[in-house]
Amino acid sequence: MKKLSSNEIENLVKEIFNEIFEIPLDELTPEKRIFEDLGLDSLDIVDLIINLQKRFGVSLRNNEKIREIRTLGDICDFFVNLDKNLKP
Amino acid sequence: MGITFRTYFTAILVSVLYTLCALPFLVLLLFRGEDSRRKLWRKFILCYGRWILFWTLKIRGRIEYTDMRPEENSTGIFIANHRSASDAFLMAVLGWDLVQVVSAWPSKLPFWGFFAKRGGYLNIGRLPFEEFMESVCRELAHGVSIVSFPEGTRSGSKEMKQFHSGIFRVALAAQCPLYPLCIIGNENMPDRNFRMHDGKIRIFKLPRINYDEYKNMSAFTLKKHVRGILQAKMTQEEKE
Repeated sequence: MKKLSSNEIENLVKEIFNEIFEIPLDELTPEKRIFEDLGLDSLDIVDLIINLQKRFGVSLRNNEKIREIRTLGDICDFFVNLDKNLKP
Repeated sequence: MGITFRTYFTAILVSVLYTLCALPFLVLLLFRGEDSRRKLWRKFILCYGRWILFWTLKIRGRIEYTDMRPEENSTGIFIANHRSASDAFLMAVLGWDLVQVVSAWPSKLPFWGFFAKRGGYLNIGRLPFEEFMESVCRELAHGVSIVSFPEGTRSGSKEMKQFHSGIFRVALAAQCPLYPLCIIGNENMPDRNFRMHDGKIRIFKLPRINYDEYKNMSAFTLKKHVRGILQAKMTQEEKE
């Protein structure tokens, strides 16, 4: 995963949501809940994870923190923290 | 005597009487092949559903069926909103040879679960997704339509929950028509605590969506599209 700024991460996450679920960008605000507000389900989550892994170039398979994600903002924070923890 | 007691008492009575009346015909099942046997079980369920509706719901509610044009229809998947436990019985009025997609708990019910299993109803809680997809495609190929409640659980109100995308992934694979089915008025018949209330149930079978219309959509977009159609109909009908 190459180093990205918080803004770049947020834009990339939104871009992925827009591409795979065709959700308009203006609806993709950080407080939106993934299941209740954006309407994703467990099968959609599989699609999302595959795409996130591909675009960010990381494996999320054994990452327990991913289970704590509830909102779009949580996804961005997750990747910001992942980015911080990367060794330079 | 309360409406809840009357309804359930009648339902139990009808169930017993119907089973006794149908018993001689069920003997025929012993001499049938697997497919034919399941078809007969489904006929049994269909007639039972009609008895229940007639004897328990019709006496205190009016049910309207619009847009029922069988000549324009072929085997496909019905996508219905899910407000109440009575939804499963309401499917009897469609009169189609159909299989319902059910979750784990209705399949475990003593009387109904037994018949659902024999009719080949699909237990989404137990089937792995690949197997579920194969089962749906097999039923469709045999001329059996599928009924799915993609909210997954009863909403118990006029609000519609978010849809699960599983059945839409299957539809894309099976390339079959979709029939949005809008059920209005039964959110309290019975309510989430299984208490019965008066009401008027209306069912609208909306125009079918052909595969050509949705083949370029993702499963996610398709579920949003169908949910939007149902929501628009509900809003229109409940505003009036």
